[in-house]
Amino acid sequence: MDNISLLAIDDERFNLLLLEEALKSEEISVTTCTSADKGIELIKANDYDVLLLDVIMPGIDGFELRKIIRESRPHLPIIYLTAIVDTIDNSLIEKISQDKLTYYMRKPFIRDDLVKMIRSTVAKRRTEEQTKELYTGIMEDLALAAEVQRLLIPDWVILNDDVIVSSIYEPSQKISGDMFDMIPLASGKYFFFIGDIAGHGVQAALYMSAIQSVLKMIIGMGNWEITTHEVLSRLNWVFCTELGQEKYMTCMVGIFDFANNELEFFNAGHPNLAVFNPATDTVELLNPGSKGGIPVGWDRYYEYKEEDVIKYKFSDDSIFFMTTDGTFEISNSNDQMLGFDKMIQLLDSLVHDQDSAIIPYRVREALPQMGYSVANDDMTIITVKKIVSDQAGSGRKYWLTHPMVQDVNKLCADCEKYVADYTGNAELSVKVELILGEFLNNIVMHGLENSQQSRPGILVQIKVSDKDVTIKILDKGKKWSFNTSPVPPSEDIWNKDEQFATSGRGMTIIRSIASEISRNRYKDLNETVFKIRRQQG
Amino acid sequence: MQLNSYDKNGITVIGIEGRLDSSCASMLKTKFKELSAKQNNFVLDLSKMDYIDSTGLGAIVSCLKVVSEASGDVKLACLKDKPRMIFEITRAYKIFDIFDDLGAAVESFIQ
Repeated sequence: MDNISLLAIDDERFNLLLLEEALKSEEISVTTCTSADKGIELIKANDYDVLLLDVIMPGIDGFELRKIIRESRPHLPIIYLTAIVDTIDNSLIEKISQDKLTYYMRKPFIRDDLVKMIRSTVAKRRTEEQTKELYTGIMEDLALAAEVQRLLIPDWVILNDDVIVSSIYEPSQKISGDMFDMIPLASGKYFFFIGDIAGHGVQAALYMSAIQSVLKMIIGMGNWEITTHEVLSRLNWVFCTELGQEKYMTCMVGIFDFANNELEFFNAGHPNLAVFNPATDTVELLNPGSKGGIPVGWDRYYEYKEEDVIKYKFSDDSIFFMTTDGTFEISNSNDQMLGFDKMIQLLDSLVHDQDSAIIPYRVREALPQMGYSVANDDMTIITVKKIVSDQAGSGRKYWLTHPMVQDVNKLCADCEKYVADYTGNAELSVKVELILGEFLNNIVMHGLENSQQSRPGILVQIKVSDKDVTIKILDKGKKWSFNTSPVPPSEDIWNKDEQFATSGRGMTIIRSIASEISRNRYKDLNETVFKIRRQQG
Repeated sequence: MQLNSYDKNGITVIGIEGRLDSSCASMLKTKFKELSAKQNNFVLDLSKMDYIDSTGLGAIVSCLKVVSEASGDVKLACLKDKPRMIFEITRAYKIFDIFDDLGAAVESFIQ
């Protein structure tokens, strides 16, 4: 054991001399003092491993001294050396045991017993400190691993000319064994993958990171015609031979062809893919006959066959839903799980009124409201919807911006141009730009703390109708409430008292332009909607 | 954003070119602070200012505040269409004198 640093406080010099002699050959460096005041000074200035105290001292007893010491040294072990035999009501023992790190030994002491007690007390304390440091270090490493993992999976929203994908990704511990990805192939085609490693925590997350790399390698390899069953067969082989057979993975892989509105996918033991079908106005399961294969990792020689591939023709307004089983295995206080069927019901109730981008967050927000708050596994919910081209003709368009001022300003200018081109109304388009500029800059500067420079993205949607322009903003900023009441035209935003205010006008300007403002928060996603009435005539 | 300043008939003119927004409003305030050490009457030539937001407005207001305390003024000239709309929407004309012509803005001090 490393050298022990000890302070002994006793008003009797004789006792201190005994201690110095008793401990001098034991790799214990002993400091002594005869007064409590001097002792307190020494404790503040030095980092002792253990204290030896007398219980009875002139002016202050050992327990009062302990109280003072604990203010600056809450974890310093104290050994009382006392000649007192306990009182009838055991009050001495009681006082000693009020503090977890207090021990005692009778005077006159037996040297070997004292040395043993000093050593074991200090060893216990050092072990506890090391364990605490180790735990803190592990938690910091896990937090960092979670950050890194977050960077490996797509941002909460993906938007391009072909598709909008929204996702909520929630590890049950700091890091997750779920994974999903959307890899562009060519001309409107995208390879998607959603997977769930059995179990969760660090091991599952490491497997998932490896799978992601292997998958990208398989997709990127050479000029082969990528098919879902062939990708799975290759992935299965690598999983079984390179990653070991302790784990397995349920997953679904597929190829979206947004140019031709076709989907083909393969289910390897994963929860079913569901789709909102506009023709029937309901959410349907896409694999009622349960075609598919076994989870990846069960059998290295298993071949995923073309006959188990499912093909589906979808429409422009179809919305696809994917999830991992942690979502519907969430349970209530009676240990009843939500269940897949109820989850589909929930999706079906939301899909008619909501943008696809917000649905995963509305579902997640609803679960504890329904009583389901015991999450047993990682949860992932994804929606995928085609972006219809020629958005200008529909009067509805999405934009996605990084949360950086220069990108936000460009988005505002693009939105202004879109509205100006669509409506021919310059004043209306300037109002749109002003609202967006003020609000988005507020989010960037105040709403997103400690975020990566390029993530999370902020999604903006503009819808133009005959009556109004609706601006919807979805962001992952902090929870922030503000007055959403419009400022009536008669109200003076340059009132005399605040005429020279040089800041704080942004929200007032927004409220003076917008005829309606609403704000909601679903899980950690803010939805803010502004409407600007169009002047008639 | 770019700034330039010059003297016109004893009045300091500050030309603002580009966007006056949260990313560069402090530049105007810093420049104005230097110039206002020697002069109290200013005209902001906004003929090349493309856009202004609430932070930019706040910067111009702060300029006005600085010189007002010394009985000076800041007048605005030659607003382009978009900033003019922004001034109308925000009713900023209530505290600023706005002119269509730079010469008229300078003249107004002399008169």
